[in-house]
Amino acid sequence: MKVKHQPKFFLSLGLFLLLFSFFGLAFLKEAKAQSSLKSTNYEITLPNLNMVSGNAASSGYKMGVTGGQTAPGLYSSTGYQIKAGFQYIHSIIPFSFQLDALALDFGSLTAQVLTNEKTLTLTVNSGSAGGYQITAIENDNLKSTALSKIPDTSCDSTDTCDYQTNSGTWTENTTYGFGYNMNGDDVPSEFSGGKFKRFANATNAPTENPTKVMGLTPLEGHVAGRGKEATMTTRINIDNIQAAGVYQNILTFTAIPTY
Amino acid sequence: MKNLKFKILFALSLFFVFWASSLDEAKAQSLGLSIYPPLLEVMIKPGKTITQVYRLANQSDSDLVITSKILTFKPADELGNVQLETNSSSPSSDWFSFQNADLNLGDNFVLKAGLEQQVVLKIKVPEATPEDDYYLTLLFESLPELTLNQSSSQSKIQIGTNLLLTISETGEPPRKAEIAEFKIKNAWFKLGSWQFIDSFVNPLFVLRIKNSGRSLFKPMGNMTVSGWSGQKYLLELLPENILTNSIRQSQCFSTNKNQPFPCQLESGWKNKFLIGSYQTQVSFGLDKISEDYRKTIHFFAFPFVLTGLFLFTILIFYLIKKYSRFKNKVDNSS
Repeated sequence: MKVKHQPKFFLSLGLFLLLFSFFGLAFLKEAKAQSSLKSTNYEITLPNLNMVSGNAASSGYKMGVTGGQTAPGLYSSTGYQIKAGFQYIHSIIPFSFQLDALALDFGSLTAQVLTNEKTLTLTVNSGSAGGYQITAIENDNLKSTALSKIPDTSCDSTDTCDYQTNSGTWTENTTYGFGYNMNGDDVPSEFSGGKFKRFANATNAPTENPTKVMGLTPLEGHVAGRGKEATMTTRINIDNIQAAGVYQNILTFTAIPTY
Repeated sequence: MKNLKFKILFALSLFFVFWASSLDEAKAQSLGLSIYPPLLEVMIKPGKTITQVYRLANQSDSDLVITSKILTFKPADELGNVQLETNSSSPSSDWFSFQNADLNLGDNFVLKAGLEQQVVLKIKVPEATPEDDYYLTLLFESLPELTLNQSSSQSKIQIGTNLLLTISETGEPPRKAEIAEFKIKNAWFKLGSWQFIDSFVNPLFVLRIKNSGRSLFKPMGNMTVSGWSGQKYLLELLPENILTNSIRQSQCFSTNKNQPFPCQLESGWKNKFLIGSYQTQVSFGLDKISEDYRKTIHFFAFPFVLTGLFLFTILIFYLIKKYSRFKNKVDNSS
């Protein structure tokens, strides 16, 4: 019985794969090259970069502009070659970064609650950038005038966090400290699920460097454009024995395009 | 008298209400800066001087006190992010100054809300400077004003623009590249030099290029996917800067989306599938379109999942049939 069924089976399988191959080839031949290279925000001019060479001047400034392949001998006569902006993105949108508040004012803190929270909205226009990064670092722990400190959080004991890529849960009201979560456009994936991290602390430099809180490169899916928005939720939780006082620190946000 | 007390109380209440509301307004003020251009690439001979205009704008609701500095940076990863070196000093920092009549590099200045400041950066490279690359960031930062009498975190913002400076006498600095890695990221498995991929998955190519020369370059070229029946598909490489002593993961650009994107066959292929043997050749030149650097990989596409499901279904039918015959045989014998 076994021997009787095998040839039929292999014949069916072969026929099936043959049909698939023919369909596949028929579709593949339809692929066409496209040449449209413009959009509202930028223009891609590659692979031909022979755009302009020589000197541009205005009343306010002068600038040598040389795009693409330089004419022989040009460099030896001028002594310089300048390319301003990304050669494959022609955008007039400046690279910009905005915070919606000068400070996160926590007011009077209540002990052992997870509701001492303040949010900060970060907005980026990256039309002229190939990609970008926003990093953050604190100058020190939250510190009172009497030099008492609120430490940075290390998150719940069951899911700890640090200032780098390791985020953790913060659901217990006995988890103390200062930390943050990010949500919105172009934020690092480790914040998903409402997880928290602590800020890098400048007093621990150079061990601790500013940490990326927002930003993408094209390889990570960055799309040049306006109005990219992310929300930073900062939280403080203190113990009952925390010394009374006004606690303050400075958060530095740095926005830099990719190179 | 009673009336006067009431008036004073009323006036004080009004004053308090206005003061409190103005305090809330101050807290809600935004903080924003913009800069253009975001990147400057300069190749210059020792002894030469150039200038470049930057447009810095205050997009905050209030005036800002701003300062500026030049820092060196190094690549933070293989994706183009930078790591500023705040503690290292480079002799190249002395080559920079502002040409503005009323502003020096490093000075504090007030930029009014909503206004723009043109900053003319002057780069003067001393004679006899050795040929090399210098990677720097021009950084503008707002100075914080701690005024709140509450527990708070004050915000300070910095915005930067990168400067890639190549010192060269000839304009042709020694450039050298290595293909550190070229593979299919989403291959199922590898057998010798062949990679195997499912027919319904678009191959995603990973190309890591190392700059082993003494000057930055942009790879210019493409990837060509060739099938066994002669069809060819082209992915164009995005010419991004690869800095000395670093590796960068290259990407392509899509003519459909008008965007840089990971080197994967276009979305139009999603409804089609590959079958059989293919080869992909990457070729590029340094700052010019050529085939100076080349590497080829081979892959085989087959509908593994579909075939697996098909075989599994046949097996199930076969087992059911065999079981039913066995059962009939048992029933008949009993």
